Amino acid sequence: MAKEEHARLYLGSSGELAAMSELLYRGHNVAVPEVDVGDDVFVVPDEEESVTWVQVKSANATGQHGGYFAQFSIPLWQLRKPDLPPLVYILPVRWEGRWADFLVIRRATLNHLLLNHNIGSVSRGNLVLRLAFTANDVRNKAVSFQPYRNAWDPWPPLPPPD
Amino acid sequence: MPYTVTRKGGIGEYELDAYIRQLTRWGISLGRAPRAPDPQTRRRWLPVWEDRKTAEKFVQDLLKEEDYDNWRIEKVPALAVSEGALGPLDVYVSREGREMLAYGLHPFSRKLVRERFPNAPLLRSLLVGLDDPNDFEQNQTTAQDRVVQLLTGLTAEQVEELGGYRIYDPVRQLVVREGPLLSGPAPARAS
Repeated sequence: MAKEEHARLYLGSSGELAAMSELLYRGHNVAVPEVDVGDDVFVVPDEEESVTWVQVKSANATGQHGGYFAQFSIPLWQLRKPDLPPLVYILPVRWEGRWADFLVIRRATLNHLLLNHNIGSVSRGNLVLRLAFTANDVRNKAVSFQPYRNAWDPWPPLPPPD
Repeated sequence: MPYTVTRKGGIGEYELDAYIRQLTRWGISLGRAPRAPDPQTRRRWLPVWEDRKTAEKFVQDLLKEEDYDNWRIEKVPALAVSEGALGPLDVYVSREGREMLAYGLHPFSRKLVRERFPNAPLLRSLLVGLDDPNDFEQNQTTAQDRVVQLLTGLTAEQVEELGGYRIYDPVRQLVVREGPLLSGPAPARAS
């Protein structure tokens, strides 16, 4: 396995565990699929025994003036599926030796931002999202992702308004 | 002579999103606009403009704001023009396990319904339990009609008024059910 691929797998697993740790701390139980079939998805049964799917996409950040940026790639087919059961993306960002930020955003909300505000860019069937983090904001193009920064409550996040 | 904007072979899934975003920037209502069937496929109502210059401006703006090119401006016979919704509705489906299908309206189709029928009791999604999802998708067209009526809160006639519906599976990238073939001017009805 190439060194780069190796590092990517370790980063991905580390981000998943960090996200799971946050969910557990906040009183949400988590479960990891026994067999990895390619999706790093796990489920969070809540008090009503309903299930939320979670997809974790981790990124190492790169410094830039006044903050840092991180890039994520999300398959378009997954974004466009009916949001049933609900799926939440957790995007952990590694910066200066720690998990500095988590973006917590529901699939339907990300799809809403893509459709209505043309966020990111589309490449090879993926939404490529480059997010610029500063102390007070997270942005892609003219859209602020600050409302989704470390937004663990309510769980699961609410769907977007029409 | 009226003009519309399309692509060779019709407008694909992602290109359609860009197209509708541009319509929204131009303030064109999805629920009611001068329209004609897509000359390439006759499966979607597209907006029409009275002169070529305006259609060209729309393409220029589309190229400026969005990633897709190869748009084409086509003449439309005046008789094909009517006023109404820019349908069909796009219904997305995905398989959940072996016995369930999840259905949801594309967000732009929700917008279309809202613009035409503001009080429609839209559902966000619908999970259908089935013995045989393949049979349901291939043969149970009446049941699919009912699924769409539940999702939209509209009658069969109202769905038809919007241009009918098509069903698409984004995971398999498969058109499960194509929209109706549109013919001639369809008079818009009052809501």
